[in-house]
Amino acid sequence: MRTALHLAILLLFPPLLPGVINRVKAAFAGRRGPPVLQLYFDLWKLLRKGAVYSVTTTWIFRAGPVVTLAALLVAALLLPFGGGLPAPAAFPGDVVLFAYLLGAGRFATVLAALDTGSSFEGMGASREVTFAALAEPALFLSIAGLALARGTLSWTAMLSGQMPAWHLYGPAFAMLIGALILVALAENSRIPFDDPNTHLELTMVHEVMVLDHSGPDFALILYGASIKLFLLGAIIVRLAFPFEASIRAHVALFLAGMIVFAVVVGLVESTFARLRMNRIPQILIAASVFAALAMAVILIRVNA
Amino acid sequence: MTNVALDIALVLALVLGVASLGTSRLGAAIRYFSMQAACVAMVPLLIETRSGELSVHAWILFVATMVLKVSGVPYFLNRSLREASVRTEIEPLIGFGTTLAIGAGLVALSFGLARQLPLPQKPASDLLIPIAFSLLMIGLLLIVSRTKAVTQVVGYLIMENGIFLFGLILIDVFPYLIEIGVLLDLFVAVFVMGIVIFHINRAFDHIDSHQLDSLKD
Amino acid sequence: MLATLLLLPPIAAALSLAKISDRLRLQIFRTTAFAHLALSIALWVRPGGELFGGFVSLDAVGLLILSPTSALFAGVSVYLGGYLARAERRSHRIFIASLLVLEGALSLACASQHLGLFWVALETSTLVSAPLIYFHHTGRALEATWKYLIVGSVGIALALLGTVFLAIAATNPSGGSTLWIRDLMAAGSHLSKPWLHAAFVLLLMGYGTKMGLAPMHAWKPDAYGEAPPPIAGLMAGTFTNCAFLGVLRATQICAHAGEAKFASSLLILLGLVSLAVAAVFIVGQADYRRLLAYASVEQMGVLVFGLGFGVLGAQGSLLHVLNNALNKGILFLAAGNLLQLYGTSAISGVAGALRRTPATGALLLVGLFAAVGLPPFGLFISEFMILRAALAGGASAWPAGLYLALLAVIFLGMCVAILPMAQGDDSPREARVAEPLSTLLPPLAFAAAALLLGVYVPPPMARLIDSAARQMGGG
Repeated sequence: MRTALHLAILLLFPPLLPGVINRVKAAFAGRRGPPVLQLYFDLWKLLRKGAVYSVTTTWIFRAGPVVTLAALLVAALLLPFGGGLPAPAAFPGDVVLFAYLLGAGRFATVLAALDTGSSFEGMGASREVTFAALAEPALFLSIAGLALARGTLSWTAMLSGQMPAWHLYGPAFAMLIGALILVALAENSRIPFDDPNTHLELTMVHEVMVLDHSGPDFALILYGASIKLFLLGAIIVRLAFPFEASIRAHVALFLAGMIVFAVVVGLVESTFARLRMNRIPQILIAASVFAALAMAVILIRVNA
Repeated sequence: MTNVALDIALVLALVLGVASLGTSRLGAAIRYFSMQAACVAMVPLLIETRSGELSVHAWILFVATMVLKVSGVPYFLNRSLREASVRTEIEPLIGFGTTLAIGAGLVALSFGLARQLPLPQKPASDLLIPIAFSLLMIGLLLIVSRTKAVTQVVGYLIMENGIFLFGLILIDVFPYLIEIGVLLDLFVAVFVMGIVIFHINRAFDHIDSHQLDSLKD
Repeated sequence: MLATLLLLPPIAAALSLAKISDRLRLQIFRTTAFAHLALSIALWVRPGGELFGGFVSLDAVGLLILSPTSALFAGVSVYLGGYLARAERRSHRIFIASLLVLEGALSLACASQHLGLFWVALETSTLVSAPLIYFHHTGRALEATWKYLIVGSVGIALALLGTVFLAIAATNPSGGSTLWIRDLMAAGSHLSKPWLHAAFVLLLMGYGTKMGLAPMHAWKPDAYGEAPPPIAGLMAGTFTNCAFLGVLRATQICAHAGEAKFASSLLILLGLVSLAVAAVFIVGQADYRRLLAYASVEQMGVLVFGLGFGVLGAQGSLLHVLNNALNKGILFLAAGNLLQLYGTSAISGVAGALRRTPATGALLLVGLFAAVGLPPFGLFISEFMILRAALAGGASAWPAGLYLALLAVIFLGMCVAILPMAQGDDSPREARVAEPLSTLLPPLAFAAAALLLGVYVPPPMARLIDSAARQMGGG
């Protein structure tokens, strides 16, 4: 039953997040903005359309979106959404699998982009991969810090149960959450790393990679992107609001937390501007540094 | 028993120190130092609350630090900046990203060093010594790697923050000597440095100490 | 007597800040310097007691370092008469006041029995010497002053941290601690070892920066090269010695705690590194003031090297302190004359000094011979004593061998640079230039003293050196 609930949330909830983000951005701009459920309608529309494939592409191009979504769904199976909703699959070391599944998904997208033979996609692919390479240490250091604090290498054990660790590791966790938010923004191509609303290919990082996909493929990509946002957000929300309660309260709290996360992302998108390209590595290194600092503080505490 | 407020103040001081490594705006660097000085000023108060009463001495330290380091010194440095009309630091010797990475390495080294130096009595927080060492090293890194004279002064001041934290370990034994030493040292040194910066700017029309390289062997 | 000695310079400094003529200011400085010298000599005869609750008291080491300080200040006060008369016109208000505060601070440092007070005195000296370096107000002087300030401040900050670490090391189980030198020595093996080690390293690096030991010497060539030569000579002969006092105290405390070996290895290493750096930069040096600065780095290296070899080496180092101060006085004051007569700091710009300015040229040669350690000058004796200690104490002969080799290289480098300046070939058209007496008497006096020390060390001095060195030994 719990697994079914977990799957249901996983499959149905994510597309809500981009809708919330867009609403927040619209509110800041003084507009009404698209409906919160817009992405659902878009996905429905795209799935019924036909796809157009360039003659220069091969099967890799067709396989890209499918592989990406598959990787993301498998990664989602490893993540608990709170103690009441343990992950359907869990084993020690699944954090590493999680990180590399995300990487595998990105790899498939990049391959598909390069397969088109267009220079725009190639440029986007190289930028995306560079930034991902810099965001990875931040992600791993944060995971390492968490693992040290909780003494386990499995997501389920790390993120479920009461988290008495807050008052012990308070400042360190705050720094970890900061680093993870930066990683989430980077991985999901949000401001300040990438502007999802730009229509100029030269300024795109992620958007330009998926430029050539259409119809159902594009639907899969959009859906996969919302799932990625959901996954990274779930980690942050569980870290920040580690409450345990009855199943209903638990689910409600978790979903509310996710909406708060989406609002925060919307806020960031509305108030900051996209950084210059040569500044992005610096801020990613800063995220790694924060994670490293947090790890140092946790280390001292753990051995105290 | 952990003192959460003390931990937050210490970690915040560390974060601000690391942030000053990565910023290229001189005004921002001065602001980070000022906020860091405020955090460091809170530490004597927070240490004392753990043992019960707040002594007059802790209050004096707090007020003196706030006045001198949080208001006085930044005001003074900002005036020097205005005179020299510079806003940004050009790319330092080793690049901002590399500086950040080296800074993180130095912080890790400090945490390791702190393990080698056990205190005879349990300190108020086990983060005190590592973070004091870290501030020291971050300050040194700033002095060594930056070109603008003002940033070097900020690096020196961050170093002094670290030394101040070390002195707090002896807060019961030497209530006045060390803290007064640091505060005086800081005040007079910055005053003299400010004057020299003013002269440098007048003489050379800039405050880039890397252009001061006519003396060489 | 000690109280008068300590209070006189600050009071005179306050006086000199008043609106009086520059001539009067110089007189105030001269009077104070000579009174200071007289009092120092009197303290040899009748040692002063403890003052201000024991914070201030002259022990053997302190008196040994105070005496050359006094002598140099007195000599420079006479020299400044002639020098300032030929320098450009500017107000000497800050200059003289800073000089007096410097003298007061250095005297306080020599007499401190509390490490915190010692630190405050050295910190004051650092800050107050900045305007002295900047006296000529040139762009290069400004650059030198900036480097001096930054490096010096970092050094002093490290020394402060070292002092704090010592206090932490001395914390006893009930939570009390001390910074009194005699208490720290008495604590001996109760000092916490890791903190003591860290403290020693920091004190060595911090006070070593003020001494101008390599690799913290970067400020020295610039500062001594751009400051007015009498100031450079003063700093080389007094300030560095007082900073050395800091290193000495740290070594004393380490030795009494049984960590002499640890301290020795660091001291010997830094000493040799300084000698090596000095050797590299002296050979082929083009500016004679920077040459003298590197010579100062060399002498600091010798001092620290000697300190690493126990009681015997400490005796050599303490004698070396006296000799070095006198030699620097001779050389820098002679250099000051050359600078004002020839108008250039370049070695190639000065030639035939013996012919054009015979007295200065002679002094230059005498200074050279004294500084490179030729007998019968005093430096030979002290360097020899250190060599003996190095051979006797050390397990291997490598340090002593390196020491000799580097000294030889420096000897060659300095002779090659300075001999052509004194002899050399100048065009016969150049007339002999007048040399005011005030610029000649002080270096002459120093030279005579250096010669005297090489031939005959007065028994009181020998006794004092002996007892001071014994303090270095382990408890």
